[in-house]
Amino acid sequence: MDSAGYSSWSDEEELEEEYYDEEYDQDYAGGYDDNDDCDLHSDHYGDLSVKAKAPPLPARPRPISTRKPVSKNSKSRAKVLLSSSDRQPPLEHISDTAILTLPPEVLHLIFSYLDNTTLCHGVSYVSRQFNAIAKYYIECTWTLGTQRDEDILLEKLLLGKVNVLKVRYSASAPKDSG
Amino acid sequence: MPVTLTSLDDVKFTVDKDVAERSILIKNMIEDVGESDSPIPLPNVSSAVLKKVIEYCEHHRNDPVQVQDETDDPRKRSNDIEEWDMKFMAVDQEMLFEIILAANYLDIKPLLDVGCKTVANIIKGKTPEEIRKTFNIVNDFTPEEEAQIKKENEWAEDR
Repeated sequence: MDSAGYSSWSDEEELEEEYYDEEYDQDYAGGYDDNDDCDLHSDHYGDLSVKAKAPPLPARPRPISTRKPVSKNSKSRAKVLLSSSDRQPPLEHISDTAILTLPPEVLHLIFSYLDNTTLCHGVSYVSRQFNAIAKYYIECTWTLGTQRDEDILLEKLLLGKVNVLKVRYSASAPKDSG
Repeated sequence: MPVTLTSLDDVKFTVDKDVAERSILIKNMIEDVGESDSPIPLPNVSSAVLKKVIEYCEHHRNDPVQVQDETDDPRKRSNDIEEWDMKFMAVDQEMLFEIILAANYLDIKPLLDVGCKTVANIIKGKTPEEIRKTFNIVNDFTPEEEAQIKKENEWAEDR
């Protein structure tokens, strides 16, 4: 799944992270306190570089916000930080104006050009944000739906393609909450 | 009468009033301020994007004002994009989203619609993984959440 640019970053990062891992383990050899902050970007990282016997790392700014946030409850946050599967491309590979920066009303407008199948089986599974907007859109569509939507739904119900309770629940959700 | 627009990076564009007024935001500003030689600042739009927006407005300067879509069908068609618009929208993703944001900010509905239709056409027929890859979106679902969504969406299953 990695792109070429992504891989080149990963190799360089891996060396740096391995080095960091050693330091990290030395520093926390006496046991890991869950209240401690092991954020790579905090002052703690600076302290480690002072304590380390190895030569200092090259002065290259570490990409920020490139990893999933580490849970405070995690017993081995260091391992989570080093997990290659969690790596995401650094900021320079992500467009400043990505689709997720579009306001919800614009995403709604985009989704209005998609059919329910695409919304339910494509868009809904992309990410939590997409799911939330798609779900809201589907519910609004069915609730405030047109005669055509109702006809389609009725046809599906008659053919036994739809779980009646599910549809009722989905369609009535905004009304109930409103 | 020409109107001067100033972009985020302080680049000035002089355009005809009827071109500038394709933007409802600018139209309202002109109406509020009255006839003036002062440039209109557009602090949310860069010069590169403003240039594209002006190109669109100049091409569509004689189009009738779009009336609100009165059809009761909330599902709209995305396959009715004009050929010129399609070529105009053949830009990289970053520019596409910048144009959409600018159209939203400047209140140019036809341009916003074309941009959204273009994105919808990109999404159509793609699997979730392909959509993620196309737009560089990270899958932040847990397997349990994915299973839950699958369960919730069963009702829309076609077969």
